[in-house]
Amino acid sequence: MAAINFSFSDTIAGYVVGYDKEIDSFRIRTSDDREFSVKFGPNSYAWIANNLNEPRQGCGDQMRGMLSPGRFLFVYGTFYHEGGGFNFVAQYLVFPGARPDEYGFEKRDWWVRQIRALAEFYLRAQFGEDEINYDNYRTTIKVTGEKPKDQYRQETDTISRLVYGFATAYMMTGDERFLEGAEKGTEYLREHMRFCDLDENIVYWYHGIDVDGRRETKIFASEFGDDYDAIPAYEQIYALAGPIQTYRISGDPRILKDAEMTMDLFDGFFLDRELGGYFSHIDPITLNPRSEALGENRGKKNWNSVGDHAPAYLINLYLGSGEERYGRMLESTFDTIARYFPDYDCSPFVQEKFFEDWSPDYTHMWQQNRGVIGHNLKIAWNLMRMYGEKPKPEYEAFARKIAELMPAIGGDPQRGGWYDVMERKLGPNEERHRFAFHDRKAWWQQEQGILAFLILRGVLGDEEYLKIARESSAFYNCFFLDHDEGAVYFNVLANGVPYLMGTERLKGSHSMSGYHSFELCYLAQVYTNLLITRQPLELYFKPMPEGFKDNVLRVAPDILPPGSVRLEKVWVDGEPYSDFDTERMTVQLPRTDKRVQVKVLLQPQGRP
Amino acid sequence: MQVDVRDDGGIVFIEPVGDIDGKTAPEFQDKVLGLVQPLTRIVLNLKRVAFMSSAGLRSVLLIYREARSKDAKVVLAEVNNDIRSSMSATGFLAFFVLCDSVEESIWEMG
Repeated sequence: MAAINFSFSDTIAGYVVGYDKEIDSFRIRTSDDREFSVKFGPNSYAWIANNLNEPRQGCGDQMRGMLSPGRFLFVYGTFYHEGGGFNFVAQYLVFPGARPDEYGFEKRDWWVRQIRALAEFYLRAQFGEDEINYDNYRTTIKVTGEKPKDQYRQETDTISRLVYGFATAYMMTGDERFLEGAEKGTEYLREHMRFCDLDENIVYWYHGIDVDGRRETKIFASEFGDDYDAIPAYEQIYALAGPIQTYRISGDPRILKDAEMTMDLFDGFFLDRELGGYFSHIDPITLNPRSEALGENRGKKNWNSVGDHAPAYLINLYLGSGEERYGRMLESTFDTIARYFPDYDCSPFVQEKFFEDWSPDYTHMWQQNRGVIGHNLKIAWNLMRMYGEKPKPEYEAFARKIAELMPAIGGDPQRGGWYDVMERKLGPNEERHRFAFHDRKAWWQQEQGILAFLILRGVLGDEEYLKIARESSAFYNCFFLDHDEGAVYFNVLANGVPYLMGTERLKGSHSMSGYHSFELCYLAQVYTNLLITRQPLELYFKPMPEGFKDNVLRVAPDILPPGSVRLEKVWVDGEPYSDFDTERMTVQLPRTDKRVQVKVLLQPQGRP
Repeated sequence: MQVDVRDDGGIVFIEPVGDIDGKTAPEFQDKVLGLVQPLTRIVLNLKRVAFMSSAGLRSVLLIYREARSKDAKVVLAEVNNDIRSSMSATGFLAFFVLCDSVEESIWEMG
C-alpha cells in the first residue's frame, strides 16, 4: 500500500506542552501521551466554547497567550506532507474554558442554561408560538427546527422522550411552560397511545399513530426494520420515560397506575421466569416471546430489554416513589447484567445479545457480533448509580473494567469523543477493532461517556476518571451544539465537524427526540455540582394535592452514595419552608387544595 | 363456546355465539384456527357476539394473521356497533374488511 504522502485536515485534542514564540508554534500532548507540534498560520483563529443561546467568544487575538502548559484544547488544522513527514498548521483552536484551569461546563449552571435552550428549541419546533397542543406534535423535526409538511407520524416513544426532556427542564429551571409541555404530553400519551387490556389487567403502548386532520390511525406494532410486527420491550420501556419523570414532579397517581400496569406487562409477558431477564420482543397478538411469528426476534434477550429499564424509567420511578418493589427490580436487573454481560475472555466489549438460555447470539440482524460503545458506557454509568444503593463489589469491578477498556478502543484519543458501533473481535491480522459502519460519533453515546466517567470519579474518586469525563464533555460542548439553528447535532464526523446527511441531519426522528441531550444536562449538572466541584444545586417540583403517597415529596436527584448530599433548604411558592428531612431528602408537603411549587436546595457533603 | 360452522359454495361461514372474552377466547381461537387452510375464503359472522374483550380482539387478529400467511381471506360480517367502535379505537379495524350483511360478504369474496 502506498504511503500517506498527501495533505489532509484533522483534529487534535490534547494538553498544551508549551508555546515557542520564535517559531510561532506550540506542542500539544494527546490524552494517550503522544506529542504533536502545531504551527500557527496567517489566518488561524480561536474561540472559547460557548453554551447554546449564548454568543461565541472569539479569542484569536489572545490565543497565543492562552497556551499555558497543561491547558486542554482542540485544534483543527491541516497535516501538510513535506520533508518526508508532516507539518501541522492550525486552522482554528477551541478552548473549553476562558481560564487555563477552567472547563466552562463545570460552572454551577452551565447545564441548566443548556437545558433551557434545548427545551425552548423543542417547544418552538413542535408548537411554535401557539398553545401547546400535541395534536400538532410530529416525530420528524428538521435540523432548522421546522416540521416537514408531509409527515403525519406521532410515535409513542418520541413523545415520551420529549416529555422526559420537558419534565427535566422544569426540574432544573422551574419554568412553567416546560411543565405544561410535560404534562400535556403525558396526558396525550394516555389518551391516544395507551391500550388497557382488561383481560390481562395490563397496559401496553401503541407504537404510534398517524394523524391526518382529525383522523387518527393507530399503529399497533412496531413498523421498524429490527422490530417489524412485534412489540419490542424497549418501546414499552421508553413509553414510560416521560410520564415517570413527570411523576417525580407532580406525583400524579394516574401515572403511577399506568407504570404499574406496564410493569405487569413486563413481568407477565416479557419476563423469563425460569432463566431470568426480559425478552426483547413479544408477539403483538399472542403476547408470547416465543411465537414463531417473531422470526429473528423469537426468544431473544438484549441490553435494551434487560438493562434499559433502569435508566429509562426504573431509577426515576424508585426515586419518585420510594417503593421497594422497584428497588428489588433494580437490584435484580443489575445482578443479571453483572452475571451475563461480561465476556472478557472473548472480547473487550460486553456481550449484549442473547438467546433465551443466555448463550451469546452472534448472528442477530445487523448487530451480528458487534458492540455498541454507548451501551458499554451506559452499563458502567448505571452500575455506578446502583452502587450508591447496593455497593456490591461485582458492580464496581464490572464498571471499572469497562472504564479501563473502553477509552482505548471505543474512545478517540486523537480527536476526543466516543465512536459508535464496532466489531467485538479483531479479524485475522487486525490490530484495531473495525468500525461496523463508519467512524462518526453520535450525540447519545457522548452522553454515556460523560456520565459514566463523571459518576465513576464522583463515587470512586479516581482522578483519571475525571480527566476522561472532562475530555468527553469538552468534545461534546465544543462540537455538538448547533449555535446556528439550536439544539444539538445527531452525529459529527470523527474530527468534530457536523455530519448532516439523511436522517442524521434531523433534530427529531425515530432515534432523536428530547431525551439524551436533556438527560445529559440534568445528570451532568447533578454529578458535577454534588460530587465533583461541590456546589449547590436547585431543583423544582410541583406536586398535585394528595398526589404523592403520604404527601411526601422525594427530591433526591439521583441514586448517589449515602451521605454524599443533603437537602439544605426548601421553599414553597417562594416562601421558606421547614418541614423536610435533610438526610432522606424528603419534604412533608403542606395540606393544600391547590398545587404549590416546591424549590429545593441540595448541598454536597462528606468527603471531597 | 358454541361456534357454528358451515361450508357453502366454497366459502366457510363461521358464527360464534356469545361473548368472546378472556374466558372464551382460547376455545374460540382453537376452533377457528384449524379451519383456516390455504386459499380458504372465510366469513366470520359476529351477529351473535354482543361483546368482545381485548382477548377476543387478539383472537380475531390471530385468525387474520393465520389467513394472511396461508393466502386465505377473512371478512367480518354483521359486527355490532360496540365491537366496531372498540376495533376502531384500538386500531384493529384497519386490518379487516367489514360487511354489513352476509350477502355483502359473499359479494366481497368475489
